[in-house]
Amino acid sequence: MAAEGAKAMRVVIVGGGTAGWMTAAALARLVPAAQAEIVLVESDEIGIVGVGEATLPHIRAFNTRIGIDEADFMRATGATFKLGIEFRDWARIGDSYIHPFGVFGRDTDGVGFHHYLARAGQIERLQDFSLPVVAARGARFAPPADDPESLLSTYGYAYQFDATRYAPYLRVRAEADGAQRIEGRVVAVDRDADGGRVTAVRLADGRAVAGDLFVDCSGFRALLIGDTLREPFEDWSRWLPCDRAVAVPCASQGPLLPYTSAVAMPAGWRWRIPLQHRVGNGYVYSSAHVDDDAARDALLAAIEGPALAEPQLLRFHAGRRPRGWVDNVVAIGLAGGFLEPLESTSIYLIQIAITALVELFPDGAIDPADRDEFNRVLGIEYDRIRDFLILHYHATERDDAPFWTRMRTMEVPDTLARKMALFRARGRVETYREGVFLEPSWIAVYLGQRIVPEGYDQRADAPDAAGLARAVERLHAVTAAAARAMPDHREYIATIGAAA
Amino acid sequence: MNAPIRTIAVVGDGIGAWTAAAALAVRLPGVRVALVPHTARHRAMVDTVGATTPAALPFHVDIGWDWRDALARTGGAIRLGTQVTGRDDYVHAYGAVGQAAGARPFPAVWAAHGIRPFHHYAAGARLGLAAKAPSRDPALADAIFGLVLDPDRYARAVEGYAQHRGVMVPAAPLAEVARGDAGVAALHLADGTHLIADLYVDATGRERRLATPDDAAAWEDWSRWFPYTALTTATAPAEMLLPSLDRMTIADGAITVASHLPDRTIHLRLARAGATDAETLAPGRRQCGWSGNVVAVGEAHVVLPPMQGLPFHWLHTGIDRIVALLPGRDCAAVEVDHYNRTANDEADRLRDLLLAHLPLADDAPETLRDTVVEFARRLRWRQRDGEGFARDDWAQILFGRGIRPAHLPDGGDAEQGRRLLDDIDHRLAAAVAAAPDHRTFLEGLTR
Ligand SMILES: Cc1cc2nc3c(=O)[nH]c(=O)nc-3n(C[C@H](O)[C@H](O)[C@H](O)COP(=O)(O)OP(=O)(O)OC[C@H]3O[C@@H](n4cnc5c(N)ncnc54)[C@H](O)[C@@H]3O)c2cc1C
Repeated sequence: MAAEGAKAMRVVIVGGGTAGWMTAAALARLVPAAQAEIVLVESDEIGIVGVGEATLPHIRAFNTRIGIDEADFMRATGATFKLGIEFRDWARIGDSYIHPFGVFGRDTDGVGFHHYLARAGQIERLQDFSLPVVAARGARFAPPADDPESLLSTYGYAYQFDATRYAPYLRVRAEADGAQRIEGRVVAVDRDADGGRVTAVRLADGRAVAGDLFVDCSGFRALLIGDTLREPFEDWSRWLPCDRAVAVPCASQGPLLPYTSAVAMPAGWRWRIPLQHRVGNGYVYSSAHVDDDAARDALLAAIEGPALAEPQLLRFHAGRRPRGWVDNVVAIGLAGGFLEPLESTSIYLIQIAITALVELFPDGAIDPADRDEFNRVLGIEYDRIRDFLILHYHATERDDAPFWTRMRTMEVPDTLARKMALFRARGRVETYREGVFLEPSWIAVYLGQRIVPEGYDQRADAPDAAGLARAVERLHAVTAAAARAMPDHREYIATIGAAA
Repeated sequence: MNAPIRTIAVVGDGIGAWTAAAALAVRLPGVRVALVPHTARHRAMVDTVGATTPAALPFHVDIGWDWRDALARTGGAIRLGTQVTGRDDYVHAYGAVGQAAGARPFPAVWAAHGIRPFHHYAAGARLGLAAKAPSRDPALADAIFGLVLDPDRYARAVEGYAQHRGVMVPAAPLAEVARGDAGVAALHLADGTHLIADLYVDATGRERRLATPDDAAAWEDWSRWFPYTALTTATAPAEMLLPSLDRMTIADGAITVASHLPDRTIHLRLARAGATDAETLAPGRRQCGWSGNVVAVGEAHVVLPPMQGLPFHWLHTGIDRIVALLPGRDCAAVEVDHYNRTANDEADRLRDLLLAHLPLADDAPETLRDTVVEFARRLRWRQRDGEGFARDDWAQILFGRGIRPAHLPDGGDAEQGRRLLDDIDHRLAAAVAAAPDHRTFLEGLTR
């Protein structure tokens, strides 16, 4: 609620990519008009990154909050359902596991299912006890159930969609909710006499767009937070050395899979994201370990169907700005930081930043405490995702390429080293209250990366061996049957009227 | 593979020791537990006042002892929370308060439109102010409660229960602790025999009998924030209408707490240091609750003042944590460090909750400052690592202390907001009127 008589804050969003339009749509919908006037500046000349097709389940809450209808959204963006991410060839060539959006088996008496499986000497079968994994492998999908007793409530889902269509889709809503779009290229930035806050951005045609609060959604350019305010960039490439990607869409072959794949490559990894109308592919690599031409050739050789466009080259660095909100500039999206799309976290991070901004939206002057809180929340998220990503690279047995040897032997942050050691000792997961990725995600990746616990929770010794074996087999059968009963993914999309 | 722990020796003789022994014996398959008697130098707070938090209910379920049976056998009562008077007047009752209006959390609705106190919309507070106990009415479903155990009778009962569940008791008490590289090498008993275990549990309270001098010295003192360290205890006859909230008065010079049992009331007074007949109770925690093959429970790790059931809460959650994080026989550093980190996170949040009742000190712990400042600015409350309580526990205390948000979050339409508040009020009023009084409720448990 704005203080009586306070005038609305003019918010200028610079950039109309996914970050810019998500921000515009959310602010226009969630901050009362009396408190904020929303303007978005974008340049058709410059264009958007246009990759970023795989998401986490949190996006559903975002879409719901701004009033998006699922089937309509899926039609408009050619979206498919996503139950998890497959990792192929990561710990060893030939390996494959899925990090599902859901739990494994059934915890009993407060003891995680994987401990019982470890006791039964069958922990390598864990994947078979995740309904979303089994359904995903069979190209099946059904929405989860509400009843917490049901096996069908043990998972969530996200989407895979055409990144170039999401921003325009949001734009329509943002404009309907009162956001105003200005076409133009920003060429200069005006600041206070004392060189502090930003007062306006100047466009190529000479217009000035003034504002009280600026949201930097200019992508890797980081026009305001970087070029203007010079907030440093904390570089994480010593742990995450991939600094380029080549992306190309292709025609799809075979069944429509409800999961994203991340296939390890000699100098990085390759994504495969199935959409309704095509498959998105890309090779994320370390330019120190492979040159651009070789990377492009490797990608083109690996894709399943004819390329539908020219391969596109992207450059980046892993890391973040320690402060995403400085003075009256809030960086959201690639301007604030970048973590490679291995776990589909970029759009999630945009969403977290937007949620924090809405919750901390200034009423009147900007309170420095709001900035600190914003930066604290984002900092925790970035740090925890960083560790999770490094885990995939570091916990490997691969020694077939210099890239993998480097990743396997590098020193990792202490926060990660101790998490890995803890899991290896007894299958325990260091959990936390703030930040994405809960216990099942860590378990999936630890085991998938062949960190096999040496012990298990002693309480898993409680049931008698024969009874435990029977319960395990029953759960296995029930999971398989529940997956088989689900409709085919493509058919389900058609049934709910979500087919493009 | 690192061999599992098969034998555990608990040292102590109070409620903490017997509770730990019983829980470990019941919950850890294949483990034998012995309790080595050692009369503690100080009486632990759980042996003085039996107030628990709601954590006591699942704790008893997990050790296979129905809490109703425990209460009925030992003549205890329930507590829905605490009524605070003195500097401020408020109730902190357990459980969720009010009801969200769509995406708008209840504290925001209340801050914008509420006229009656915040706790007026808490089922537990309304029941408690009427000396009543919950019925099955769904309007009261949010009222959860802890127990008020009779320390003397419960001590005997839990001792009996532990022995019934197979806890062994050697014939002679502890005489000497033999130390080794890993911590304790053996316990020498008064009859010349000795006892060796894979793991030793120090339940000797503030004496910390099993800790090495170094470990015992690594102590973080909290009395600079909580200077009420002079404790005196008195007993008075029970009240006719048995309260279901304990009463706490916070004044500058002293905090008093009344804890209500069916047959007597225990009065505690915590004064700023001074009074000569008082016992000194300095809150704080040891850095390492677990060190080598020794783990401390209760006051041997963290000392909390006898307010809001915190000493029992810490005992129960600490034992749960040993069960949940039990390492192998070698007590590997990676597992023990994890235990200590999570234990200390929790202890620090309990300290914060306790200090939240007092004005925020300039040098207040950072985690507390963050929580209070964020709440006072915008009613933001984020669950931190180690948090054992919920948003509405904090909201009742902070609102109760008169803290109001500087930036009022959007409370929604005034008309609708007031209607929601009135609805909740009426529903609670009707349900409380029909609910049993506390004594009737307790009688119902034995039937
Ligand atoms: C290889 C790769 C793969 C990815 N895969 C995923 C994924 O699977 N899942 C996921 O969640 N995320 C993924 N991401 C991240 C995702 O693409 C981005 O988070 C998302 O697209 C948001 O980008 P953005 O809006 O911040 O920047 P951009 O899309 O770059 O938008 C920047 C905007 O700023 C405007 N602009 C820039 N300069 C000016 C100027 N001077 N004047 C006016 N306007 C200007 C541009 O016109 C554009 O509108 C991936 C990223 C990369 C690089």
